[in-house]
Amino acid sequence: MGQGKSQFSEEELQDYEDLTYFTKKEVLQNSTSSAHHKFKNLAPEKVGHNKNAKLPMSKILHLTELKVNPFGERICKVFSSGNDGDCTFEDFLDMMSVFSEAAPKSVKAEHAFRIFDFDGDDMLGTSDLQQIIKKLIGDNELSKNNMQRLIQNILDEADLDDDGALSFAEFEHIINKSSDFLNVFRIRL
Amino acid sequence: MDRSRPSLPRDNSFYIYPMDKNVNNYDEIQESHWDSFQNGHSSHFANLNEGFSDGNSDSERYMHSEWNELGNKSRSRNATLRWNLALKQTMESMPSRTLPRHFPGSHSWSNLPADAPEKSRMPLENYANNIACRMEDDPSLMENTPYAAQLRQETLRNMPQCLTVKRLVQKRLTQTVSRRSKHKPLGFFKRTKYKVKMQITKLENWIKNFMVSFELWYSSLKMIEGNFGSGVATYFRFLRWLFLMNVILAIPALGFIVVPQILYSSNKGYGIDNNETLKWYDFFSGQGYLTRTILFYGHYTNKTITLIGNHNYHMSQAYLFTMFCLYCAAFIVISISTACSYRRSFIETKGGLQNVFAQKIFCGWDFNIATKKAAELKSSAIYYELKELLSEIKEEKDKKSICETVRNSTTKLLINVSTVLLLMGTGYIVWVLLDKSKNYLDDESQKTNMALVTAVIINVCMLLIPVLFGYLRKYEKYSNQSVAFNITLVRTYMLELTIIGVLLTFWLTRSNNDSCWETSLGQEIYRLIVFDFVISVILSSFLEILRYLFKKDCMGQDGLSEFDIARYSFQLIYTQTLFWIGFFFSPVLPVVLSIKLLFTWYIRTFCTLHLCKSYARSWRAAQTNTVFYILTFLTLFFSIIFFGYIIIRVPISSCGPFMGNSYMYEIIIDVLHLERGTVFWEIVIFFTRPGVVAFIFIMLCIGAYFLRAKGKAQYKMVKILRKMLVASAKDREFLLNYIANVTASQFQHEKFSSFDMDSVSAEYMNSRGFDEEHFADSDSIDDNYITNKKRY
Repeated sequence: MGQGKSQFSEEELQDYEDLTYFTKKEVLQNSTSSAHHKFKNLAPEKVGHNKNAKLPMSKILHLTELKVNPFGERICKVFSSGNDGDCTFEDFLDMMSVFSEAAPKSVKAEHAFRIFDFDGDDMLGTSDLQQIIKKLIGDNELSKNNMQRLIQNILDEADLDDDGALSFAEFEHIINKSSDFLNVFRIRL
Repeated sequence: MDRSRPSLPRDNSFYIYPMDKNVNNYDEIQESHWDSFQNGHSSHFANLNEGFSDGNSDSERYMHSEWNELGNKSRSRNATLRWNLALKQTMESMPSRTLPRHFPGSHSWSNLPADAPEKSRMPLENYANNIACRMEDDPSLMENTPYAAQLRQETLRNMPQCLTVKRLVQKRLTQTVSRRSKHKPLGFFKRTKYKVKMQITKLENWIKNFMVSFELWYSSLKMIEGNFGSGVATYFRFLRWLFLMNVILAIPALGFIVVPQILYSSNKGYGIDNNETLKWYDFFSGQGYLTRTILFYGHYTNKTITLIGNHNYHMSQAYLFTMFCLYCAAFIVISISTACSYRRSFIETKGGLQNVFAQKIFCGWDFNIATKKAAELKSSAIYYELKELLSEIKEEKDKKSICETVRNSTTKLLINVSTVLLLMGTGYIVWVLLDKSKNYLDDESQKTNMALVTAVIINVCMLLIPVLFGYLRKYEKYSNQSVAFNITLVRTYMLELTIIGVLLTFWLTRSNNDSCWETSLGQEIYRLIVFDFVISVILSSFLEILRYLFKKDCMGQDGLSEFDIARYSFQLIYTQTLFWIGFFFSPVLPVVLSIKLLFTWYIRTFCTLHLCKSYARSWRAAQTNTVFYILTFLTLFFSIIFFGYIIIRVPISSCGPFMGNSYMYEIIIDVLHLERGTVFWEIVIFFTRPGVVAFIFIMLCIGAYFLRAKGKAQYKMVKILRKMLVASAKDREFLLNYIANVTASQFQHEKFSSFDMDSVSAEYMNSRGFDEEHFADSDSIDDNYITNKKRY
């Protein structure tokens, strides 16, 4: 092959290694488990010509893990540099790097918070929580009463300063107390 | 309900109903309307409300008032505070909102809004320049040293910005650094130091690159995670960890014990009279031909081997010290990983029992999942668990009747008694079997048969009794699932300890009348490991396949079963326990076990991918994993105690590397030249004095007490801080309301002259020293306001 290597300059690769949690090999390798290979597979016709092509969100959602993920669109939006869900290779690499095993808890928590913050007001309010729950349970329906109780319970547990919404600090507090977050908030290359 | 709100008059607060991005649907607007309406507000608001609501407001009112009861705090905040422009501005510019989260507040460059490019929509280059400018002001980051470079890199890497921005920032920073540092020539010493550091970093990266290409079983692990989530994957990770550990143990064992022995046997023509022929069943029984091979303790020589020139190799010492080092290394590695795992999943999270709801929501989805089927299962699993949690809270309130409590505790008692009886019965059976096989010492074939039967029966016990425990658990009706799980786990562990305990007691008490009891014990363990593989891996997988085919073809069901993580993991622990006991008497055992685990991996992967379905409940993977680590640690700990006893108290038989001594510890004394009167001897004697031991013990107790007191104090501190947090939040809300009132009263004054709320807000903001820049992004709100104004 070798064609993959020629597309990126050594300097770019070094930058990627420095600024993500990946090694050069994981960024670019001829085997199937490299970030660029995955990106290329999403839209071979586009990426073949232009290594840094911007793929629309619908193409990014072809990645199997994102396709079945209820927060797939949110993830694309959070990581896209244009905030519209369309991702360049660098955006995609950034996404995979945050979801990689090597990324620290704080970085993961930061991005998880942004993913859950649907309305973008930097707080997880009741409407955010409601949307998260609706997305999580998929086709199942919770009665309105149960939904309210659920949200109230979450707020009782997590809303330390009693303002009816979760700030990042409160969210991170929850994440730090969870033993499974690191296992779960992860997508392998 | 309103306890958190300051008691300020509210009727003069004003409302903007922007079709902002924050209010996504009609419903929410309705709710916030109703909410404010309930609190009794001004008439123009009521008009507005009319404009929105339709005829059937009665049912809505009921619904909303219910909603209102529960979420009043947040609702009212949504309605009254958030849409007030002045307040929105104030809140957005609060330090807690603008300071990025993971950087020390002292850095001036860190004063960036977290999502600035989204809001201001400036080109990424400008944005990157902005960040770079602020970072350049920090001298500690801009030094031209490897340390600062590393710090820069770390900071950039952890910064929640997109990669393109990070690259731009890095480019600019590198330029600035090289420009600034031209004037300072570096000394020779410093230059060398930096060069060495650079080389080390390069080496680290190279090793990382290298390791990535060799991650064992990467693709199958990913496939399992994609299909079954991370819960099932913990079993496979545990399996992989054990496999690697055994492979690593095998290398020095082979290198220092087995290879020298082979060299010795072949070179010197030292033929142990192995006149047996190899039969197929010897591989299962470990007897016959295999008795006198490198597989077991008895074959090893106690002689000194002269290898090259005058260099001597004492087999007995090599044997003892290799074993000693390997056990110690394994002990250290396992205790460290157990401690880390324990800290992660129990201490830091306080057992994970708090925040059940929040954790279900925020950590509920498994991002590894990659198939549609698994995703659907996960969704419904989360759904049912949430419902269960909600109903549990309801049930906690109504207490059980006395009759029911009595019945429950009687069942529990009965089941516990029968468990103990079952354990004793198993122990007795094992003892009788061992005793019988001992009686056939003369008849070789009878002995082999009996040994095989013993191994089979023990393994069948290990396979069936845990299943029985699983059934018993259902009758006990534990309300807490994890308690029930742990109790079953403890029972299974007790079963394992009983069987192994009986085995060891038997061989130690009968050690006098066996010509080489060490080999016999090694053989016993070897048999158990081999039969465990045959019965609980191959046979049970085979049965599983049959069951699947039967269900699928004859009954038309899908036949998939749930992957029993607990049972399979426990089998691994059982094998590992056997290994810790047997390793000392059989240096090739790690190779045998590695091969076994290798096959287990492939069989299990195949079965899992084809015959299993994902869990219907979510699995508390991290904690269960910790429990398994702890059990592995405990078994190793017990076996080390066992070896300590053997080395000091048990007379050795006339075979193997320690032949010629009566106790194993004599070798240690021999090597260390421990004689009375030497300094080392004095030191050892000093430290074993009762006074010294008591002193050390008391010091440890004091240390533990001190740490505990410290922990308690910190716990109290946390409580106080939490109270302070709530208090300050209330203060903040009070102040925000106050601002709302100030702006609103200004608005009241100008209400009839001009109806321009933004001018009021702007005036207020200007008076507070906010500059124009802050209003740059309020365009959308203005637009929304205008659309609303048209409704009047």
